[in-house]
Amino acid sequence: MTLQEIIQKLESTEFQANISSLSGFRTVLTALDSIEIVQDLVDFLADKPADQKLAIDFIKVKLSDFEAGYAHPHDISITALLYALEKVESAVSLNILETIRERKEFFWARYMAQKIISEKLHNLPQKP
Amino acid sequence: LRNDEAEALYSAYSGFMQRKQFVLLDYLLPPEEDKVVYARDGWIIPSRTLAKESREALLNRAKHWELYRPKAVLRSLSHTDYPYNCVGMVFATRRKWIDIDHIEVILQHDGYRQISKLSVVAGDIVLYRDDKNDYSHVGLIILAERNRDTMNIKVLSKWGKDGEYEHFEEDVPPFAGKAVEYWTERHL
Repeated sequence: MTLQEIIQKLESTEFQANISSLSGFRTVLTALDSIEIVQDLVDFLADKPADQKLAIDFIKVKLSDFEAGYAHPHDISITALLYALEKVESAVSLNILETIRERKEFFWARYMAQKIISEKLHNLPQKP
Repeated sequence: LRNDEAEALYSAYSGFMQRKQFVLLDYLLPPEEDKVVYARDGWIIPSRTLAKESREALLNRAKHWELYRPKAVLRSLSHTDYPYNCVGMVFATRRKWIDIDHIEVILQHDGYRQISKLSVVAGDIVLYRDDKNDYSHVGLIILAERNRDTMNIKVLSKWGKDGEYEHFEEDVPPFAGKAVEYWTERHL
């Protein structure tokens, strides 16, 4: 399976419906933990570090692909990609995370970006 | 983030257990100037507004649920400027998105108490928990028929960003969890 094929499944109505029908970010994380295609994505990115950059490039390209005032059409697939990239400890730039966090057209992806930013801060070494 | 913001966040987080972080995320996201939702005792319920879904996306997902949850009856699709979720439907009269993680505190501030399944009547609420035993969904009970020692319960609930559905209590999306608790604010 290629990254493109996995992303197509993340953009399928079935995957979108399974996530968009949820009402809490923690529940979304629990769902992502158990959905097979997401775990396939995590394994895929862990095995193919070069594709981690492709996944980040996909996010970058799709950031501005939305109609103002409407929910971002790639919100859920970007959420899943951020989740997987975090699992394989691939560094998504703070700039991308901040852009997602600030953009009101995103929803679950904003929570995911905020979570990653917060954990980056939390993992900073303690001051002496 | 500016350095002082980062330090403030770092300091806030260092005192929180992992479980609390998810509730905190609502406070860390950029603030919204919007109508406030109050609990019955005056507590401000953390809520969010979100961009409305395209009609096409909503209809596609409604068709999906028609196929995968055929017994659930679609009542409405919320193609509005104020999308709401299951908690917003029950506690904010269909105006706001309130993360399910806040449900425990809302019940406390609104004076709800837990009841047995056999005591349920229409107007009470049902809570769902997911595989990790966290609250994942809430619905308004619209029919409760007792048949000896079992109850036939129908629920009206909003499926996240998707439609409002009338359904049997177990007939929810796959990751919305299982009906496990029944609560009421009735005074007997």
